[in-house]
Amino acid sequence: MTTGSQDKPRTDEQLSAWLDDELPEVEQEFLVARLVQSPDSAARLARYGLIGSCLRDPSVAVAGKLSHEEAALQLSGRVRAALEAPGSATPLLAPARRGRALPYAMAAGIALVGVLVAIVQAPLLRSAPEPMQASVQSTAPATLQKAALSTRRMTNYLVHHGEYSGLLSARVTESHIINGRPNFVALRTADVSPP
Amino acid sequence: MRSLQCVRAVVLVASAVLAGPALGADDARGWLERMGQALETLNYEGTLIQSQGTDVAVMRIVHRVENGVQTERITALDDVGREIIRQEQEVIFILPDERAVMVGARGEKAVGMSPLQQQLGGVRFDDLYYKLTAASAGKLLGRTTHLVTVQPTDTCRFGYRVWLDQATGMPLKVQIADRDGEVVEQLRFSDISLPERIPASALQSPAKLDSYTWQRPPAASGSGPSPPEKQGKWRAVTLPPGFSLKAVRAEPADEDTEALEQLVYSDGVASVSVFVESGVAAAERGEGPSRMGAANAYTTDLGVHMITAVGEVPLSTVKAIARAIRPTGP
Repeated sequence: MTTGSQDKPRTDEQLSAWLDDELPEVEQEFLVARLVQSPDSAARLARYGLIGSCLRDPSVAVAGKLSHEEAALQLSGRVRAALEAPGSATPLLAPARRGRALPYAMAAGIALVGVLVAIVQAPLLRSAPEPMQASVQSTAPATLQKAALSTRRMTNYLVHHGEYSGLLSARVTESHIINGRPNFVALRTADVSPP
Repeated sequence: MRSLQCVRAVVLVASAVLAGPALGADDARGWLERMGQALETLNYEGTLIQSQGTDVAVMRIVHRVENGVQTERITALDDVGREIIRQEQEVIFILPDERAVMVGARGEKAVGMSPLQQQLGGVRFDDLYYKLTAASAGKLLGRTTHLVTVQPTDTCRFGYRVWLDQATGMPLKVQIADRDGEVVEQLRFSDISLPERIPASALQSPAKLDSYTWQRPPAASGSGPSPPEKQGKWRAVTLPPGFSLKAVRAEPADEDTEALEQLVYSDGVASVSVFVESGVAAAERGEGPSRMGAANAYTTDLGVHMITAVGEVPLSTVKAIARAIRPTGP
């Protein structure tokens, strides 16, 4: 299976449908298969990496200041631009690891799209009575701080905590245990409360 | 067993039809109860994508129910391949990167997959701290969904948005968000199937565990017949609104590990575990926050004891609880 240039509009169309949660399951499978197996998949994956850049862009981070429609429009435009950009994207993966990690990177790329959906939809949870607080937290500069606990100890605690996690967060706890990333703290101004 | 599942499926579908477009808190509770039932009674397998900001992880989950016994296997689809295998009596954490296996005992009441739910007698919410709504939503994975929103009324806890499969009650997507609606973390199935049977072999790890170091915690006391209020040597002298003590678990020191006490506080939805350890080397002790996605932790010292509160709640909540821990006796 190959993905020629003639297939790209179709792929982008499917990606857009995924953004809107409107891509049928069968087509999702085809989309993943096509992107993973196509000769230029690495380049396209690199462009997906730009989607992550869009997410890190402060203008997106403060999307809460925009209407839902404006935020969605901006994101769609940026994603489209990222996908259409000629091979100028920063590689998503180091070359030596690309082959082994390709399927996971593909999943990650698609998951990033899920994150976009999450960010666009996030304002739905906002509480109307306290818009000022939302604004402050969204725009507060984050400061990085070394975590007090080692990743090993944090994982150990999560193992014990996991059995008592609430029904809604149990899977999240488990995912932290098995994904085992180094933990870090990105503190917002609101978190840095006086002792 | 098969006919029982068929009956359950018919009941689930019928209740979904009867539920109609109601949008109130009672309807949301009903949907969450269905979710809890679905998670415990259905066979399912699928791929879960977890995302926090731009950090993404992919996992495979297989959940099997056979003769009322639940077993489960969750595998990280990355280069390391950590696994969780949950059996009837214990949970096994396989860490290939450390060539280690950690074994955790299930609580005494851990008949189901959600011990807290067991202890609380189902999903219960205090209207003071959460506002529940339910609404019809679009399709996910080709399935019609219902969206349940659990919105916190203060800054002491996170909120949740759960997209449930209308036919079965299975959660297809879950978002954890802060009080401002900012998504902290998301879990979403990229594919899911609900087969009538799953072979036992699907729950077995391919890892050669014989060569791994097995860590079994010393037999823990607590959460037994006496209420948690009468157990343990540590307590929080003040708590954020809505939180109360739900369980106490104590591990005595042995030659490999130091004594550890775990206190579990919950508001019925979120839970916070407090770990009190003694004899921790100075190099390993630090004061301040740690974080993994929606899981926040805050560590502080009290004499020779290291106290850490950890849970899927805002940092301010774990910090307040950790700093309120005191010994119960002299």
